[in-house]
Amino acid sequence: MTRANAPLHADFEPAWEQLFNQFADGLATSDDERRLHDLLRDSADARRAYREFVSLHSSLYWDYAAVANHGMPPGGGLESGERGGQWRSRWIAAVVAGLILSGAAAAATVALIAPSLLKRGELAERAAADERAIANPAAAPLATVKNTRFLLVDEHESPLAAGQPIDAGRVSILGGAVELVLRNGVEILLEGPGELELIGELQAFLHAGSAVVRMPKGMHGFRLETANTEVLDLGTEFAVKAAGGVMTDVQVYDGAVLATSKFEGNGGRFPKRLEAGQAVRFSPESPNEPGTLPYEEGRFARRLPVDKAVEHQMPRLSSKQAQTDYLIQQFGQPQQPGIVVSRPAGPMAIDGRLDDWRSAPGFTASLNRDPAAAEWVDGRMMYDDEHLYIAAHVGDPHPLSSSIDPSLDADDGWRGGAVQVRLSTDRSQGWPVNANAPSYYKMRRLVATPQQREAAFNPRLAHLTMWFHAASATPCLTIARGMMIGDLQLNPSGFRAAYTRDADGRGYVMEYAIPWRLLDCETDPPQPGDDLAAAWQVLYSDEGGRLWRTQIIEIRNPDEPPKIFCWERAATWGRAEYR
Amino acid sequence: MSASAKFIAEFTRCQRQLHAFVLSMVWHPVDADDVLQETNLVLWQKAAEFDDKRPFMPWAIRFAQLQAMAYLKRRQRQDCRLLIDDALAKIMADEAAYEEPIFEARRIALADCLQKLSPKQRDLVSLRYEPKASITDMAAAAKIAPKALSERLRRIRHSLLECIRKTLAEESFA
Repeated sequence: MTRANAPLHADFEPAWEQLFNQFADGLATSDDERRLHDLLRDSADARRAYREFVSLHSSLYWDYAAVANHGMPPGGGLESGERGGQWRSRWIAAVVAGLILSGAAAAATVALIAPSLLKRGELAERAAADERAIANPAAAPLATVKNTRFLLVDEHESPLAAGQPIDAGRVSILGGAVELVLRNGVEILLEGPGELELIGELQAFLHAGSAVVRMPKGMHGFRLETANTEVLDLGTEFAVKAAGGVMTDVQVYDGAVLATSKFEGNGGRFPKRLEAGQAVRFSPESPNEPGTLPYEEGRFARRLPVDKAVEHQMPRLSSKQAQTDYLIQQFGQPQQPGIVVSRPAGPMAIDGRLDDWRSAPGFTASLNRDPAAAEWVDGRMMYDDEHLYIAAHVGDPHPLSSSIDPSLDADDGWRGGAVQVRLSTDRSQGWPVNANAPSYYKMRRLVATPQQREAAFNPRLAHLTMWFHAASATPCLTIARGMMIGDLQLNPSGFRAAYTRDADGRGYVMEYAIPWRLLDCETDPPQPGDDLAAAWQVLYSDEGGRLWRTQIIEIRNPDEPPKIFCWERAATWGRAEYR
Repeated sequence: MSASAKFIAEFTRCQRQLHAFVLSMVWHPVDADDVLQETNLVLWQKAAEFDDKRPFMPWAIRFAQLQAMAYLKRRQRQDCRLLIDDALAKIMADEAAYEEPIFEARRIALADCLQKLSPKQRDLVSLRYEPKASITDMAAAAKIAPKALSERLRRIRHSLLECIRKTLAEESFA
């Protein structure tokens, strides 16, 4: 077995390479076969060299053949008898479809799917539909419309609205833009006029227009084709513009891609690696080498803004200082735009101690950004397949003194000293999240659209309020869903929590384990690479644990204007990076 | 992610490396495709047995090893030659199973290295790796001996391997 510290590259003996080459070209004799067998049996170095050689041979056969034979016109089918990458990818898709079918039906499906008889769209649709129907009956469709802006569609096309499911097939717009989120978290922003054909979770065809593809962290392999170019993502954000069926521009914002021309020519079919900050044009004028373009950061729309924020109007106050104090008390002075949510190294003990949390990144903040303030927080989040874990060491002159009785005043739990965490587990929303509380509209005398009303009921948004009821020595938890913060679930069954008071009486440690099922995502909890949303509020009371006096707000979207409460607008929540 | 979704993700991700492993045993790309298909079907049938807390590749490559050996034994009945025996196949599978990170890094480096070839070299690689390409047919078309053509390809492969090693060394993979 290969040891972890074994060298990764072999020292090639020229004779070995000669021998391997004979095999690669089908020229090996029976003597060569015996030599190879003995060599591989006797020498670990030779086996390593052999693997290195074969991985090259296989990659050329697999990747290069895939690239070289991808000259399929839009909507075209496969040539009979075609082998190589296209054929293979279709076969894999067929097997994947089969994998998620059951028993004999699956066997029949796999047996019946002859790749040469299937057109691209048919197979993709079949695989996508089968995967949806069988792997998870309640699963999301291939894509969901995340957002639109100034969208214009042909009168014969179905309208597109936020939250609308999209299956494999063509999305055509005349103007504006639509932002789609695929089931696996890949985001595609299509600018109109444009036409995009969704083929699968990792494949799409841009028939016209501009599209920006953004991969979730840790994921790669998305393939975006145009009539004359294929772009393979290597973990990135990139833009592609398809014009007139003959020209394709590619611009890389982040990471890298392999872009390959489909033009016939000596070198044209070789992949070109493009890094962040590079832009090229594939056109018939230079089939062998794409032309270099200037990198223009603002050339493509990369994200559609959530609906424009409207700030609170300030009350009339007597002095500038009073205004400043009011602003700080109401809206805090957040500095952290995000938090990394990591996985624990081992089982978590919920004991009000932070021993298990040493490796967890988090954030620290103090009231008014004053490092000497008595009010401060060291907040952390972790997760595994079953639970969200939240812990904080809170500097508080009146620790664990809340007199808010959960059985009577659960909706006031925050007032007597508490930690509130708001979070989204909705991968289709990504970050930032577009949802506002009904009061957000009311207080601004706005009328919510039906889509905005629906967004407020998104069950994958949660508001957690955690406090310690002093009289009963009970850790408490309320959960509100969507943006309906008045509709609370109190101390739901299954959560665990523990508090400890600091020895000097100037603070406390809280630790919670909250099952994902309580956050309505038991079957689809956050995964490594997800960028979701979260926000923290640490609330402080008077010495009696009844009257709220101030707060620390952290993990906030810096693009949102400051005078908006995080409980009323989810777009203000910062980025939660699940790693 | 559900267990089945995890399985599908791992299954899809491991295809290239499984192909390389199978190719290392059976040598003919078309045969490797066939063996890979058979392996995939077995993996599908065994999906319920996969423990998603354990690494996928060592589990999957075991089935590829068995399918490749079955293929070689079928072929042996036809031409009485068995290139790789069971013991060696097991060693090769054990060693290949844990090379996933470097396999992926090599593959990515190859894209850059291909661009460093001369147009003539690219053309030759292009022809060689066309579907159904045969060195004999290519040599006949070029009016040279197959061995001479293979030697040209050996030099190209050598330069690609060197380039990949250099790239990975620069990226601190070495």
